[in-house]
Amino acid sequence: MEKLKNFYEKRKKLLILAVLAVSIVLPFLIDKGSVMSIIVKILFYVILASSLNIINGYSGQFNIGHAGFVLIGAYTLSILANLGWPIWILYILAGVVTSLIGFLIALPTLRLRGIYLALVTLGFSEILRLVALNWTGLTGGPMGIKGIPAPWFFGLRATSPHNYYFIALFFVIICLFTSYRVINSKVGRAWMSIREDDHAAMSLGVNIRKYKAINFMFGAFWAGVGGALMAPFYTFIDSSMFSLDEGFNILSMVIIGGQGTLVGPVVGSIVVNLTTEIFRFANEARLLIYAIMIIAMMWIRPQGLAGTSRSVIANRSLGRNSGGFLAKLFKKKEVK
Amino acid sequence: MGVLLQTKNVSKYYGGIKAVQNIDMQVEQGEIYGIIGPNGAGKTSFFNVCTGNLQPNGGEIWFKGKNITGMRPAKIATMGIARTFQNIQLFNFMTVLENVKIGYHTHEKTNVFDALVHNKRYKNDEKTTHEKAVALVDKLGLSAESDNLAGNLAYGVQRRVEIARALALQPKILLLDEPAAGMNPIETKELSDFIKQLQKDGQTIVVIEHDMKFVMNLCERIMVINFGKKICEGDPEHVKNDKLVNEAYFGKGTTF
Repeated sequence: MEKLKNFYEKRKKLLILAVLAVSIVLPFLIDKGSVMSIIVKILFYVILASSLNIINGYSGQFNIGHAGFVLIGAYTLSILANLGWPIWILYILAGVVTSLIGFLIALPTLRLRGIYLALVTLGFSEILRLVALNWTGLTGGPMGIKGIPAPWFFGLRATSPHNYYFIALFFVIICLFTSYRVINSKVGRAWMSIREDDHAAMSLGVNIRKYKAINFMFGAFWAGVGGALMAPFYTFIDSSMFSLDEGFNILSMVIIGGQGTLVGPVVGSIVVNLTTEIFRFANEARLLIYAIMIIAMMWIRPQGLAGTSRSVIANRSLGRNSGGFLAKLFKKKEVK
Repeated sequence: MGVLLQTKNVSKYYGGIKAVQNIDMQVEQGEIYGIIGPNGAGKTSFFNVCTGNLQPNGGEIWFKGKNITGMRPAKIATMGIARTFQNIQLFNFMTVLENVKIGYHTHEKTNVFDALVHNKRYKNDEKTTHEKAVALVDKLGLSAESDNLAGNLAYGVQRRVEIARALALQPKILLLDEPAAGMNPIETKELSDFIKQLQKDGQTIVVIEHDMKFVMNLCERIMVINFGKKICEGDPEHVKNDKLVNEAYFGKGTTF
């Protein structure tokens, strides 16, 4: 693992360029539409997992209701697109709306942490789903929203997975790029200091409420964009797509990939989505495979596939703070 | 010189336990002020009240002529009070350099937008923060550890990282909670010299410590707390010979 890391550090730029080149050439190599739609789906989840990673991995809050944010993004785009608004603008607008909702959710939860915050986000996600299910006038209720138009892309409508792939890729790149830049700044350092020790962060003048709110808004923005991206691709959305299961699905990608690293969610999205497709024949038994994967990860590599020992949940490597992820979650902090 | 930090009649109760009772303290600009007392005397509670981590049940805290009672810790830190913790609270999964960089948080002006577009403000902030942090890490003799995770360091070294992080705030007053705990005699001596050097550079320091030799050598004025009450205040000589202090530490002598 160390060797791999050194290799990566040395040839960082070259590797990034290579990955970019491969991802641009990819749709020209793959003919099959069905394979391509799986790849597009992976890209959606890269954005969703990355946005959750901003909240869970970098500022150490515990959000398990991420599907709620995705729902807002998807419905914002779908409702307005059917009214004839231009889709490219709606991608961003959906992000902004979700970000504002994220801020509203953040306000009452700024004092909560760990399992208490988790419960609030869970409830929030479920409430939104029920609203979407029952507010028939706006959301179509159980019928969902049909016929969401595809965006224009170089003069033609991006209806095929091969075209839509480039739109998704564009947003994935921007998402990772913006995350990278914010994390490597004063703001990112403040997030990480809150994750590590909020009392110490306070004593150094970090305004915890402000930075937690910014963190929630940033994560929610990209969750909204991710949700908005999904809607025109599937051309149909309904509330069942944004259940709690979906939230846990995104969370499992972050955990399996590695929290607190930029590459983690990308790896997580690829691994989890491919597993889903490979074991599609097993139907419901797939869920068992997920569970086994997550438990195995917690046991063998708590920092995730792409995580290094620097990851938040890799506590076991340090004697003083031992206890692992769950222990830290439930740990009660005392002021000394 | 003038009074920098002042507490007036400050009290802190935990239910029926009176951890801090009516303590008056005046820290002058540029001095090293010591707070000692037996275990559980209320020293750390008193510190936490001063830095806003705990709210006092009574009394007022004044800093640079302003009433700071009831302010949030982050606000108080921004005004220029930095502290270290008794049970070291470093950012364990960040490197030593990153730890120190967070100390400069209040001096940076970058917001999310600046970070996204890498404008002049971002570049200036990153450059000055990096340079200053490297210099400060150097000053505390931590250059060799600069890229190591703070959580992996030895106890004595972690104490130094915490002091570096607090100094990065460029505080008007530095509150050290048992800085020499867990250090060997040589490290303690070095720390003592370092604190004296800081004072020469104009830093005002308040220190809680158990190591008597350390406190007696270092501090100009010392306050002794026992059972939450101030029992004595003065220069080291005066404190050493005080009857109440001796009773607090050694008990009352029995007379036959």
